[in-house]
Amino acid sequence: MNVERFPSTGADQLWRAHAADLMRFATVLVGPGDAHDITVEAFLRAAPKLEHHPIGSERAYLMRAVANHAHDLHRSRERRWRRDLAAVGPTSTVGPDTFIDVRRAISSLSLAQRTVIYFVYWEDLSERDIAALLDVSHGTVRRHLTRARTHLRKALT
Amino acid sequence: MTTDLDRAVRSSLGDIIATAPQPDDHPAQLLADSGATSKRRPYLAVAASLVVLAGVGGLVAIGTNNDAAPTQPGAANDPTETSPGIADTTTTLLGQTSSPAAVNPTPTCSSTNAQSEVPNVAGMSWVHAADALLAAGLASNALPELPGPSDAPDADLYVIIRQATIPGTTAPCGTTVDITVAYQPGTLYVVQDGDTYQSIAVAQGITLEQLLALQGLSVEELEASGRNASTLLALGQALRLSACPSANAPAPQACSGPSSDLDTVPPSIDPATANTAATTTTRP
Repeated sequence: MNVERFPSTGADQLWRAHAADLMRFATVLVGPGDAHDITVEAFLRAAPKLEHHPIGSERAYLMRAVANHAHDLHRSRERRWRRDLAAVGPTSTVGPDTFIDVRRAISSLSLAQRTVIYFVYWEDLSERDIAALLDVSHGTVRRHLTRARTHLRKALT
Repeated sequence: MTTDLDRAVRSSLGDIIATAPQPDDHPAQLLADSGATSKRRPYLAVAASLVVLAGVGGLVAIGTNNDAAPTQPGAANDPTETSPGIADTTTTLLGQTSSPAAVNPTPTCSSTNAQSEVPNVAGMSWVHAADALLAAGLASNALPELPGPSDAPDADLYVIIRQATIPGTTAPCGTTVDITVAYQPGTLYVVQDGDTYQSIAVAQGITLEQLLALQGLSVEELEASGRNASTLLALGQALRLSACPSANAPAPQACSGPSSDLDTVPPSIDPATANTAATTTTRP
């Protein structure tokens, strides 16, 4: 009989290790208002699977869970998320707010485009790495990235 | 142009990410609220695996557990946690989730008067210690040194700092060994044969006073209990070498305060008296 051993990475450890990262990712996807809920819900769905069947990269799995959960909800909440994201102010209150247009442009991207933008510009991943992490094709990542860049460039000029 | 775009996007993402909510420290609580029953508590997994282990031998002494487990009334009556097959046993194994409950499954004995050699479980995590004792045919009764934080009932973070029965002695199979568990005690030193407080302090490069203070003792208290720095220490205990554990310990007071001083006097040195102490908790 195969007796399941006590897993070495419990949900607690998983949460402590990845929660902050997941929150940041979720914030870019859905804005500060829903980020917490989305992260927690995605984590609660994903963690039991991770605990019983440890797979290679927990982080990638949890990131994907957040992205998928956001995608599940985007029909009903997309407008609220755009509003939340567009309402974000500058970190520094000193000096003019140079990037308000860019932030607005980011908020009007599609969910998939924001996902790619986060990994490219925040985590500095290559297109190939992003494709592997999100489990989509390289071409899909490149397409989202190109469209997102075109859109953002308009905001900047 | 591209550089401008990169800079603008990074800066904007920074602004957005600065608003990210802080993750709170209650994943266990969240899991409990969500009704994710399959993984609600590590205890369940532990208890289930131990029950399976006990069942493999086929010679389970049925019914000895019910009076052995110090269950708080109503503490384990969570209907969502029961599942067919292990429910009966786990309800007696799982106590209040806010404190390390007694996990004492029934060990398998080959015959009624079999003798077991008590293993040294000091410094081991609770889960491993319970497994080791069970493998030796002994039950375990975990006593919390101090209550851990209520929202982090993670059995992995509890470590055995003392066992009431001296390792190396023999006890009748099925004896319950009382083990004292501490929540995230930090760096521990497992007492070896021939160690004294003095020798450990020298070996670790700290003063005797520092070492004793980490155990919640002073020289006066030590001498008041009839011992001194060169009294041989009993096996089966682990001494603290750091005041506080890892940085993410949610409850610093659980590790910095003096431990409950003279209640926690290490087991007496003489194996003979230790044996008599052990037999008082014997439950064949």
